[in-house]
Amino acid sequence: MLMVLLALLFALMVLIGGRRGAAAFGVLLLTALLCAVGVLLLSYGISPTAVLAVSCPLFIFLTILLQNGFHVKTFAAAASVLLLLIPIVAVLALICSHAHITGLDEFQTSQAENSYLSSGVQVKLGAIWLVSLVWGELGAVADASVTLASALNEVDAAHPELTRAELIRSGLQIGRGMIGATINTLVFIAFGEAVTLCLLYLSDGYSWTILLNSKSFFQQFGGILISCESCLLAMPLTAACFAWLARSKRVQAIRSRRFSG
Amino acid sequence: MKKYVFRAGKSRLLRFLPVLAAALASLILVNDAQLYSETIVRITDERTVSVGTVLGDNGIREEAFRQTLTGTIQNGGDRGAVLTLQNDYTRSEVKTTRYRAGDQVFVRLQSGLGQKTAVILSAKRDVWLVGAAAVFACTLCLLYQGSGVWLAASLAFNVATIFLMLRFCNVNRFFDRGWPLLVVAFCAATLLAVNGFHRQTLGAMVSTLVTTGLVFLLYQLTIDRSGAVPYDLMSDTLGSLPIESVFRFSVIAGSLGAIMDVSVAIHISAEELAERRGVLDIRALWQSMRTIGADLMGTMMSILLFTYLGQNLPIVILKINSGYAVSAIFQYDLIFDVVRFLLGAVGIVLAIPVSEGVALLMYRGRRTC
Repeated sequence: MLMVLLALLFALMVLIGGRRGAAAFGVLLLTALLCAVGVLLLSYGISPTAVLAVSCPLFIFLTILLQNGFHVKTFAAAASVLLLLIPIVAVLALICSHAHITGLDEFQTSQAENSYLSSGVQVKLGAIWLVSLVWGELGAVADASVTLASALNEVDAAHPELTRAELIRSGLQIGRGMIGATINTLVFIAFGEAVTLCLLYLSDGYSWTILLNSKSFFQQFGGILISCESCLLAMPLTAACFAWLARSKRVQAIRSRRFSG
Repeated sequence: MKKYVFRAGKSRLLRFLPVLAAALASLILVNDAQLYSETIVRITDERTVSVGTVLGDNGIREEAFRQTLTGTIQNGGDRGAVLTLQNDYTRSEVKTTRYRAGDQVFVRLQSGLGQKTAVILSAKRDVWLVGAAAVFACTLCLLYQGSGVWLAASLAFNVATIFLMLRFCNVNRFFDRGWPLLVVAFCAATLLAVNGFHRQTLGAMVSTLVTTGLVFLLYQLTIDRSGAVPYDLMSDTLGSLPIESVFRFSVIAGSLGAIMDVSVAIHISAEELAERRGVLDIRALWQSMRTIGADLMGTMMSILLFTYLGQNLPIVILKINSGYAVSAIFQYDLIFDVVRFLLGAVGIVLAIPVSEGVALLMYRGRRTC
C-alpha cells in the first residue's frame, strides 16, 4: 500500500507540477536517500559533527538550489539558511544538554527494554539527537527562506529602483503575510503527535505537570517550537541576504552580462 | 474586525500583551516549585568519578560514571534541607542522564538510618519548554507585529481546544466520531486569525476541509483496509486507547497545516487573477496552479520529511547497533511516520486542484472559458 501511495504522489506531482513536479519528486527521493546514508554512517560510529557538517550543506544544495534553480533568490535563501545553521546548532546543543533530552524518552526506554536493545553505542546519544533536531529544522527554515526570497525577487523585478534598505523593509512586510503558513504547517504536525502523547500520559494516570516535564513531550514539542523560532528569524535574514546580493555590483554585472549575451 | 482593531489604535497594546504574558509565565515558572506536589531538588554541587566500563549486549564497551550530587529541597515541608544524591550514568547517556550543578530534578524522598536520602526520578524541564515558548511568542509579536499577534492568538486557541478536548471529552467517542469538529475548529480559527474575514478565507476554508476529507478517504482506502500499519505494536504503549482512530487523527491533524498553506496561496492568487483580469478563466487558473504547485510542493514536502523522519534517528541507530535488519526497522519503527509523511505529501498536492475547483465555483459569475 505504501508503494501505491508513493506512485499516487508521483503521478499527482507530475500532473500538477509538470517537469518541475517530477524534479521535486526526484529531489525528495535523493533527500530521503541522503538521510538513510547519514543514519548508516552514524550507526557505524562516524562522528555526528562530521555527519552534520557534510549533510547540512548537501541538504541545502538539494532542497534549495537543485530544486529551485540557480538564481539570486535561491543563493540568498541558501546563504541565510547556512548563516542561521550555526546559531541553531549552538542553541539546540545548549537546550539538549541543559534540559536533559539527550537519551531515549520514557516510551523508547521501555521499548528498548522490551526489545532487548543494547544501550551500547560508540557516540553520545545527545549528539545523535542534535543531528535529528538540526535535520528537522532544515526543512522548515529552507521553506521559509525560499518562499520569502521568491516573493522578494518578484518585488525586485517590478521595482528595480528600490535600495537595499527598502528591499529589506519590503521583505519584512512580505514575511508578516507569509509567516502564518509556515508556522501552522509545523504546529499542526506537533498537534498530531502531541495528542497521542497527551493521551498516553493521561490514560496512565499521570498529571499534566508530569507530561509538561517529560522528556518525550520536550523532544516532540520543543523541537518544533525551536523550528518555528528559526523560521521567524530566517525571514528577516533572507531579506537581508537577498537585498545584499541583489544590489551587489558584482552580481549586477553578472546579470547584465547574461542579459546582453 | 482585524483591521478595525488595529485602526482603533490598540495595536501597541495587542502587540505587547503576549510579550507581557510570556514574561509573567516565565517568571512564575522559574519559581514554581511550590506549585508541585512532587519533591523538587536544585543541585548545587556535583562530583563525578569513573567507575570502569560496562559491556553492552552488542559487545560495545562504554565508560560508566558515578555522580555524588548535593542539592537543596525547593518545596514541601522539608524545603531548604540539604540532600546528597547518587546518580550513575554511561558515556552514551542512552538510558541514563548526567546532571550538573544548577539543574532541578524531581526526587522521591526516602528516610533511613536517621538520614534523609532521595532517588532522582527525572529532570525538571518546564522552565526550558515554557522559556522556548516565551521567546517564540515575543519574537513573533515584536518582529511580525499585527499578523504575529493574531497568529499567536490562533495558536493559543488551538492549544486550549486540544486541552479542553483531552480534559473533558470521552476519548473513545471523540476519536471515533467527534474529531471532524476539532478539525473544523482548528481550520476556522487559524484561517480567520491569520487571513482575516475575506472571501478568499472562506474559499481556503472550504478547500482545506474538502482536501482533508479526501486525505481521510485515501487513508481509509489504502492504509486502514490494507493492514499496512502494525497497530498491535502500538498496543504496548497505547494500551486500552482506540489505537487506530488516534493514529488516523494524528495523520489528519499533521497534514492540516500544510493543506491550509497551499489552499490560502491558491485562493489569494485566484482573487488577484480575478481582480486583475476582471474574469477568471480555466487556462489562467491552470497556469497559476502549475506555478504555485511547483513553487510550494518541494519545500513543503521537505518540511514533512525532515520533521517526521528525523525524530526516529536515535531509536533507529540503536536498533541497527543491536543487529536489527533495516527492513524490520522500516516495517516496525518508521512505518508510522512514513504513512504520516506520504499522506501529508499527497494532501499538499491534492490541495492544489481542489482549491482551483473551489475558486472556479466561487467566481463562476465572472468566469469565461
